[in-house]
Amino acid sequence: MSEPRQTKQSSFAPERVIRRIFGNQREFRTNLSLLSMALPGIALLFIFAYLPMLGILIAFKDYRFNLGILGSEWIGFQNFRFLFGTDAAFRITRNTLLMNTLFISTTTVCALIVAILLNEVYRSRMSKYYQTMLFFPYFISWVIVSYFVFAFLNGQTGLINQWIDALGIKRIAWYRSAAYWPVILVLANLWNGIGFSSIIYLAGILGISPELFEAAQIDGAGKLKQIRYITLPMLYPMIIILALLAIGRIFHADFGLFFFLPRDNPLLYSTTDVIDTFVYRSLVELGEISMAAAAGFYQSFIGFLLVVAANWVVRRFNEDYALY
Amino acid sequence: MTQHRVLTVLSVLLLVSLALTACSAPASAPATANDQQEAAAPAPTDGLVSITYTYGSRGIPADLQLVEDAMNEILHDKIGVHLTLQPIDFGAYNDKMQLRLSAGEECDIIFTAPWINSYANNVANGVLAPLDDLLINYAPGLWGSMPPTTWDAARVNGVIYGVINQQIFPKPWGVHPRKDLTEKYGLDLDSVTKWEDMEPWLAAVRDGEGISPVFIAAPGRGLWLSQYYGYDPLDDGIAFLGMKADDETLTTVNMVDTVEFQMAANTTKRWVDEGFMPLEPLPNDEARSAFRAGQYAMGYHVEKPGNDIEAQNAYGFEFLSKNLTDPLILDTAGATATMNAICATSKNPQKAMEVLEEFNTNAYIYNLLSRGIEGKHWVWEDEANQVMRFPDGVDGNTSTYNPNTDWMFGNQFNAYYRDTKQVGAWEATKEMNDTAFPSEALGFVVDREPIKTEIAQTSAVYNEFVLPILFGWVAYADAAPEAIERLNEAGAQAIINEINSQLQEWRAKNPR
Repeated sequence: MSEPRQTKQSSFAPERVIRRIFGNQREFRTNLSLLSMALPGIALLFIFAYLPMLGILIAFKDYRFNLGILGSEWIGFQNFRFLFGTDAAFRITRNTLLMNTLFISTTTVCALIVAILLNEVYRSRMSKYYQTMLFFPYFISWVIVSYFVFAFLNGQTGLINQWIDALGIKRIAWYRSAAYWPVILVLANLWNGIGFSSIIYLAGILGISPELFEAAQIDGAGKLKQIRYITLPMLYPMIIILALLAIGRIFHADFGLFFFLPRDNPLLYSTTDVIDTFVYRSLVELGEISMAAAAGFYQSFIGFLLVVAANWVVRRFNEDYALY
Repeated sequence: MTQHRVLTVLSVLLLVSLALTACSAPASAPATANDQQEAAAPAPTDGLVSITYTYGSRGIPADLQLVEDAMNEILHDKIGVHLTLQPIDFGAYNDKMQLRLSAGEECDIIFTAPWINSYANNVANGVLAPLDDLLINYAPGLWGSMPPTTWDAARVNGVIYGVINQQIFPKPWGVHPRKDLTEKYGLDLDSVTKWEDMEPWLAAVRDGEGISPVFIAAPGRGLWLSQYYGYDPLDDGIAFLGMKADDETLTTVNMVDTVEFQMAANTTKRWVDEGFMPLEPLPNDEARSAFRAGQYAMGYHVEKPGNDIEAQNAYGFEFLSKNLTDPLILDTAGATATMNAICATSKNPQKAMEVLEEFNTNAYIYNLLSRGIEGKHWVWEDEANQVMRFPDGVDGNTSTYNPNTDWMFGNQFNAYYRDTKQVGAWEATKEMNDTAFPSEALGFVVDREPIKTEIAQTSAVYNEFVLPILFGWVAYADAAPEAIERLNEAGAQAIINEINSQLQEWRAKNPR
């Protein structure tokens, strides 16, 4: 009696997996056209995200161009030594985490506020204009932004220094004072990213059934109460998913932002130097691909751990909101 | 309904924007594809060997194809080679080459140097072909044009991997002030022997013209130039390391910890504080246009013979030029400052070497490459003295072929002069090369392999703690102790010990 059961058990595994991914056969056939649309995306993901992972090997090898990836000599963790040989590792890790945490929190909060405000004026003719204006900075390269910032902050002709000069306050040497830069970078990042995030949230808000708001209105809820008890709770899953995705990249600093805005100024490294800029500076002269790969691997590995951890926390809090 | 439509519009917008940003990222990829096409496109006629030459360029000259064709007219018949020129913009040259080479892409001749597309890295990474036999067999003229001691500078572990372009080898650091301002504010350049002698004039120019007179570009620049202070820097990639050029014991030191460095730092700090140098220098391009617009009064650089003319070409003013470095020091980095090398992946290294022979010994080919076609891109001013000029109505900026990088293509002493005042500059340069004081470590090349972790660490520390001192932003007395301590923590001493022992081994094999 037990035999057929066993065969059943052993044969179901691949089928179950396929069914879990594609649904049962009928579902699969009806959805075939839709599923096939995902193919190019899956192929791209495979080519650009999974195949390059083989390159991780380089981080553990003494890579020589003429020997190739497989032919080069294995050297274990030697390539990672330069990251941890000085206290630099601690500082750049701290800066990266701290700045990205600031970025994620400020962008989420501000983008939510902007999205809610945009939603309130959504029927006005100006709303397209606001959206475009907010979105536009997203397309401007950090190199160009660095010139804007320089025009505002430079010591001699900077706009801000001229203003505070006119107010009779002593000029501030922005490019010499590391303490101001976390704020400057947060503002710049906000200016750049808020349009993008707020449009995503706005799309989420527009997806909420208007009946909920109508019912709340009939029950006498004001605007603030509607936001507090309808808009925000309905957006939670979206906020959490976006935050989780951002946390996944928390170890990857935006190189353009951190490299160009402070103009690679040594006096500002204490607050603006992040993993990416540090690695670039230490290795651009050395041309050591293995060490750069090691730093990249370190970043990705810690980033991966952080996603798993963040997802675990979310799962503890509410299973439905977890990413997986 | 409207909500639905809005959502659709929004998601389309989102998709489009995502697609746009995704497209913008790999912008450099199509460029390389183009380059490859360029390389593959002109199919050589039967029996010709195709050779590519990849080098840095300030933008891509409009008449590149014309010049290439003119060169091939000669090369087809003479050595049976079809040459393809592959200039890459200087801004991208280093990164692009390192990527290409690391990808194992095929190449024939490439430009390499200690300061760009690093020679040391390329040798260490096994990218370059050994050249000794090729030189002797396929480029006898080139091989004989320089003494063996000069070739030694290009040897790494006894093997030559790069062909040295003859030009100025030592670094005659000095000043080139604008002539009109030296007259206006009374500078007697003959009496100037060191940086500090410039100060009274600089102060006068600052007050009289209301400018920061010394030309520097972002992020900053100091007066610490190791050869001026008698040091051989040994390796551009290890910035703190140096050796007194006349030190027979071959002992390297941390240059930050020397009296000379302190002197340079103090003078630089004074120049910044006095407003001789801008505190927040402009980026390179803008600083150059500001120089052209008269916003600076002087530059300080390698004051080789004829540099006043080169500066005039670049900035439009008449200049004086004075070398302040005494004695001149010939070190490995100087002798190998500009080189052409053959890739290990090249299918025809012998033919590539024959092309290099042409670049270095055939003045016609060399000047085609560096100056363009006679009658079109330049005309004779004085053919007997080999002086050329731009055709009427054309200048350096409007010319359709003006790479202005003689030193990249081959033996610069074969170049035509650009100005009658320049006549004799090559002989004077050769004289400087021959009479310069050879560093005790001339010919020694650092093997970075055993200390690359420490080099990466100290280079980060150097950038953070030493550069502000070097640029005159902070006082040496305040900042140097911490900088030195940090360097030591990052492994400076280990580097010094390792290189000292490498030097001793090298000396044992190469007695004086």
